[in-house]
Formats: sequence, structure tokens, C-alpha cells
Amino acid sequence: MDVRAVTLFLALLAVMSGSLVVLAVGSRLIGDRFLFLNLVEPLRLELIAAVATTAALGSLYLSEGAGFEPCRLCWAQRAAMYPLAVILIGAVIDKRFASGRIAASSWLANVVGLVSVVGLGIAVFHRYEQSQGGVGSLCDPAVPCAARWLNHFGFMTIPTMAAIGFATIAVFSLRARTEP
Amino acid sequence: MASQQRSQQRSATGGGGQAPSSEGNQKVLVALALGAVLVLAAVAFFVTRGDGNENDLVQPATVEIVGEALPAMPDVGPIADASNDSAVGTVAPTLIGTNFEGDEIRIEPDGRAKALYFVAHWCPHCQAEVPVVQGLINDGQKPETLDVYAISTAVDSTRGNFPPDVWLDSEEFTPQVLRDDSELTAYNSVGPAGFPFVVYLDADHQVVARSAGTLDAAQMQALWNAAAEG
Repeated sequence: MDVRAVTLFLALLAVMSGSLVVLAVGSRLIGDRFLFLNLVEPLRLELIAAVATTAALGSLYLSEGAGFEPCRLCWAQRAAMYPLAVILIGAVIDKRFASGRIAASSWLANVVGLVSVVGLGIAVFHRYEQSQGGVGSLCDPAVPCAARWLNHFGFMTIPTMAAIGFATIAVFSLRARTEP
Repeated sequence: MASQQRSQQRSATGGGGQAPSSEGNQKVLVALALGAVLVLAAVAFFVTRGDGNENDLVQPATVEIVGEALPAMPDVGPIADASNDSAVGTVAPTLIGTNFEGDEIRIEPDGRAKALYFVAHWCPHCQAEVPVVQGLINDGQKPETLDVYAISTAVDSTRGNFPPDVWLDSEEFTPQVLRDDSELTAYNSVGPAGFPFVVYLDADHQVVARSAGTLDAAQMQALWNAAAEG
């Protein structure tokens, strides 16, 4: 598989996911008048499970397939995203094939929301590290957190994609908690 | 209380308390989502098809080193000079390689002071440093007796801002550029400590100072002047 094709695919998925976040937030601000988002609402658990799973598998591909060595901040984001993927897949299975009580429980939305917000914070900090650099800032040739392994469209680096993934999960779990 | 109950009923991420949408609508939505993903995969495949590795053939090259490699730069902060670096005063190795056009570049004792910038195209700090270097040159701040070289190293076609020749061209970078090889032979010969890494040489090709990481224009100019003055 061509690494550039896969990373561009992941970047395009992130753009699509980011568009959903913008639509969701915008829709909320103007009173949920978008028909599309009303259609999405019943499937939001599946949506965020797909986002978390894609992010987790994508990060595994980037390190194990493409050979992009993860830095410490990458690992911190993985520590947030991997459990989210497992929890959300479990919740989808519960919703589809079991009682649905786990999927409907408030703790699920709370845990998912909290973990995704923490992950979002780490990803934003990582992106900041990539974009900043005062006097004396350098790239460690081994595993630099500031290095950009990839950069599509001039802004879509790995932590940018992670941030969009976390934001999608946070926003759609938040919508579940605050729906009027 | 009522609000709490309502919140609990629909607090799940879509799991409960939802007004059921028709199954038909959901199926259409899932089909649309899968279709969008397939379209994105196709776009990624066709956009990147054929732009693969032709650049890989012209980016890293072969480099010959003549002389002793410098010891590793001590961990003393961004600038190592005579006060804290045993490499200062020793003769730097001669680097012989080619530029992006394939012409030979020799960085050797030739009676002129030098500043050697080891830069990686994917490194954001190198990306920030190159315009500062070029800005000083454009402003006429470079000493007449000093030559600036860049060594394009750690080239990786899978990483951002590739290829390095396009990057440096886009910065209108005027100094000579030597291409390092895939083993980073040139980079490793100067005892580096990260990217960007700079070695300042006097007219006798002896090390005056080394720096790791970004410097501001004033620091850079001071080191250029120190190298030019020997």
C-alpha cells in the first residue's frame, strides 16, 4: 500500500469528520434545523465508534505500516483513543445485539466525553508543539514530537487528525448529554 | 429533577431515548457514508498515483568524507563554543557530494569561512530557520569572507514538505546545497545534536562554534562574524 495514498485518505476522512463537527456545532447554535444532522443523531454512537476505531487503526498503520515512530505525545493520545475505540465498539454491540442499557447509560456519555476532551487537549498541545519553536528549538532526529511526519493541505498533520477525531467524539457525545 | 431524568434517558451517545428514525432513512445514511468513504479512498488513490518515488532517485545522493569526524556536540544549550566544546579549534572533515542538479559540491579548506546548515525538509524548526538565513543574506548581513552552505539531510519521501529542493526553491534559498546520503554520512560526521544543526568554520576550516536548534537573526549574525574573523 502506498503510504501517501493511505495518509491522504486518512486526512480526507479527517476533513469529513471535521465538517460534521462544524455542522453539529453550527446546527446546535441555530436550533438543530439541519435535516442531515437529525438523521445522524440516531446513529451517533455508531458514528463516534467508527471515528475512534478508524483513528486507532490509522495510528497503528502509521507506526507499524508506514514506520512513523510515535513520540511521547502520540502515545498519550493513543492512551486516550484506544480505550475509546474498545468502549464504543462494546457499546455498539450492546445497542445492536443486547439490552442496550450500556449504550443508553449516562456514564458512557460522561466517560467518553471526558476522555475525548482530555485527548483533544493533548492533541492540540501536540499540534502547538509542531507549529511553534523559539530560539533553541530543534528536532530530535530520533523521535521528535515537533516533527511533522506528514502534512496534507498545509495543515493536516497527525495530531491535527487526532484532534479532529477527539473533537468529533466529544461533540457528538456532548450533544447526547445536552439535547433539549 | 425532571431535567435529570430526561438527561439520563438520553445521555447515552445515541443509545437510548431517541425518537426512532425510520430504518429506511438510517440505511440510506449508512449507504451514503460508505459511499463517501469509498469516494475519498478513490480520490486518495488517484491523486497519489504516479507521484511516487521518482523524486527519491534524485534526493539523497552519495557523499564522501575526508578527515576525522567531529566529536558529538556537548549538551550545553543551543550554542557550543570554545568555552564548552572540545571540537572547537579542530579541523572539520571535508564533505564532497552533489547538489540537486548533480553538480559536484566540495566543502573543503579553501581559505574562506563557512557556516554549514544541516537541515531536514520535514523539520518545522529547519523550515523556520531557512528564511532567517536567507533574510540575513538578502539584507547584506553576511560577511564577505564567509560562505553559507546547506546540507539537505534525513530526506524521507513519506514525510512532510518533500522534496527538499522544491522547499528550498520556494524559500528562494541562494546558498549552495549539498545532498546527504541515506545513511546521513555528512550529518553524522559533524557530531550533530538535532535539526537544524550548524557548524561554523573559520578560513582554516577549523571549528569556531556549533549550534543545535533555531537561532534568531542576531545570534546567527554574531556566529557568522565570529567565523569570518577566525
